[in-house]
Amino acid sequence: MPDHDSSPNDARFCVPDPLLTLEAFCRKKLEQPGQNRAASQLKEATELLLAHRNTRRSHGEKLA
Amino acid sequence: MIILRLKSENILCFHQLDLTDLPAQGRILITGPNESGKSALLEILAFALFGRTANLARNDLAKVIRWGADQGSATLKLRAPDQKRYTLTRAIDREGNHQATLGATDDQTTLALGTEAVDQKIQEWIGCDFQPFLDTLYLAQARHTRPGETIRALDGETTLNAIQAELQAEDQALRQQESAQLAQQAALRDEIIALKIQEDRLALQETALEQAANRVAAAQATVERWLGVEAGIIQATQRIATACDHLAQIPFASPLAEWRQRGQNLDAALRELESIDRAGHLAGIATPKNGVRQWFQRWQEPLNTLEKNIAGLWEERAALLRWLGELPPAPNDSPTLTTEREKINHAHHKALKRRARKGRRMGILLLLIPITWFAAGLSWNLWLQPRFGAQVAELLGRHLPGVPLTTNLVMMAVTALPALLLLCGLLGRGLAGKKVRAALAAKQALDLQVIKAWNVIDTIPKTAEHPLQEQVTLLIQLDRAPWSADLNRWTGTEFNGFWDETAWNHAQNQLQEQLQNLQAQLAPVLTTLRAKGEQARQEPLRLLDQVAQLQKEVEDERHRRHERTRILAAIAGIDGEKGQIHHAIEIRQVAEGLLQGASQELRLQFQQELNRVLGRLVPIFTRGRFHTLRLDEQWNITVLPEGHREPVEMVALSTGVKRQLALVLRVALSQALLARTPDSAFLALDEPFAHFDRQRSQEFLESLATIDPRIAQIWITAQEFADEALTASRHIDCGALRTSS
Repeated sequence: MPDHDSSPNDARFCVPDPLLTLEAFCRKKLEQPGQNRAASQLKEATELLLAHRNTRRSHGEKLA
Repeated sequence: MIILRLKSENILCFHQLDLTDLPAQGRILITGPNESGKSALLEILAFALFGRTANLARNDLAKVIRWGADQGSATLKLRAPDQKRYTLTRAIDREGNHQATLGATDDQTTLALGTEAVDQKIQEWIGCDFQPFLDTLYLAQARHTRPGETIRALDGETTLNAIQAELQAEDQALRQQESAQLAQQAALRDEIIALKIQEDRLALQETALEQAANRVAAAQATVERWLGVEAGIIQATQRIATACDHLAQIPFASPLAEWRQRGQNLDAALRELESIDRAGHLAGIATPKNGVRQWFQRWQEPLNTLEKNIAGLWEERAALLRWLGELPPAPNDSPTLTTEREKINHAHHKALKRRARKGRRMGILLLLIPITWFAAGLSWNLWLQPRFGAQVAELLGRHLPGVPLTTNLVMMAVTALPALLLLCGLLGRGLAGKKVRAALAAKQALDLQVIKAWNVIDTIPKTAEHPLQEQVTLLIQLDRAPWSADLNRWTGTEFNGFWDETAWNHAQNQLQEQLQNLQAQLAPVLTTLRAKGEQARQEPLRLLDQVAQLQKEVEDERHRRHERTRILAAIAGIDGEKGQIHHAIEIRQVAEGLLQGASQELRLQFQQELNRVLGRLVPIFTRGRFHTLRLDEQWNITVLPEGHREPVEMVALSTGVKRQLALVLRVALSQALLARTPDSAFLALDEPFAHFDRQRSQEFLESLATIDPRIAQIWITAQEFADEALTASRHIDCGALRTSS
């Protein structure tokens, strides 16, 4: 049976922040063990992405 | 964003439209028969906001203008997320010229001017572009929700895609840069090839240059040598001329100094000839110098000897001066005149004293002889004769028989000694007188010697001013042996020519003639030498041209090598940059992989959240007939009806249910959109209940009103609504509007 007593607020959409998700994903990848070169590249790539993220945040993120 | 007023002119089917005092909260129900303009009203709203409509493509936008009109406009008054009121105006003509302005309603200030700036601001306020707007807040007729595209915009992938696009753009730029660098390197390598450098060419060129420089130096040395020869001949000519002058200027009857100068001039002229001959400058020129040199040497010998003797005279004169005390004595000098004179005076004085002493002694002896004779006779006669006469006689008789012992004899014997002494005194005085005379003679001789010395001293300088022949004669008269004998010999038979003026003039003339001949011969030689020198001077100039050409070639080769070094350095530098660029490309590829992973993660999270929200909304809007609505990774929609265990695909459902579930999905996505904006929003639904029965329409309206208070303003079109629905905040009758417009 449907839950007619559910609060309307429960239906509110919790949209994940893309930049936070990106940052979390990168950090998760960084924490994974890997080869030195791959880890180094991963770190540099993460820094690059975080730099892009910061740029977008500084300009105000919006949906296209 | 909430719409407060909608106004248009010549847009779609409305000539003029002005909906004022629109409620910010609640339902705006739009009713009317078919073709009364219900959908057009929402299309005008969409056009005013985005400059787009759901049914017109972007390039057909001019069709939004009402038939018969040349241009149209739409104006919105709205409440933005900052809770301020703004007026948005769009105008378009048949040519497609589209203008838009956005300004604050209260203070009339312009916020954005131009379609691009206005569109950007509206997208910022609403939170999405036109396409997601169609899938969320605006339900247009005959348009089905395309969740995949919209969900990608709503779940944030677009943001990551934008970053990815930036990375791809950077990657593309880097690859273009890499390609450009490869092309640049290829061009640089082509430049190196174009330089046409041969590794051994520079060494060969440098060797050739060095050899050419050596040839130039040799040629210049030749020129110098020719110049030296030329200068030597010029100098020789001048010296010969000078020698001729000197020979001509000096007369035969001249002093010794001029004879010496004459000899030096002759010697200089002869040496000049000899030096020119030794240098080989006069090859082929007869130089009749040997006879002259022999004559000169034969002439020079007595001159040298004469000079030597005259010099000896001068030395003797100096010795005489020192002897006379006119000059300080030398260490090895003999006694001076003063010492000799003192010595003679001393001897004279001593002789005088001796002679005087002898005289006195003779006087005494002359006095003693008679006294002694008298005393001896007296004593003999008185005292000795008596006592010792016999004895003495006996002795005499014994030893000297025949000698009588007489008084006279004894007297004589007794006086013999003084007489002897007197005799000696006479002899000594005579000797002393001789010494005195000798001293006087020495004095006289010394005086004569002094006179002669002064004569020599005075004569020698005076003779120097006389001609040589007279000088020699005068010097001979001085009679200073032994050179007088030499001079006599020289002036005699052996060196007649030396004193012979005729012979001398002949030799001089002969020498001058030879010198003049030589001068005459030197003139054409000099001309030839100058011609050869001029020819030799051309050779270095020609070689210098070759050297300059070789130097240019060497410099060009060095420049090419320097250029090659520079290009190689540039290529190496580009290699380094390429490495950095390649690394940057790799990093961007890794970053793109991360972005794709993050996008997948984001999509998964959004999908889970969407399914969760749909799990809440679907039972509410379907009154429990469906449990939930699911979207898989390919955005295929399935539903789970009440009493079913397996999900059912949408195609299996009735059109009404599909529309109902699509509306639920739209509401869910609208909420996802609202989650990105802090403001309340409006919802525009064009004929959402076309396939709904009256009860479902009513249930949907009721559910919609309660699902999310942020959806404050809901525009809904329908041909008709239930009476209770018309009690909404605003009811717009399109039929009446068309009639009035």
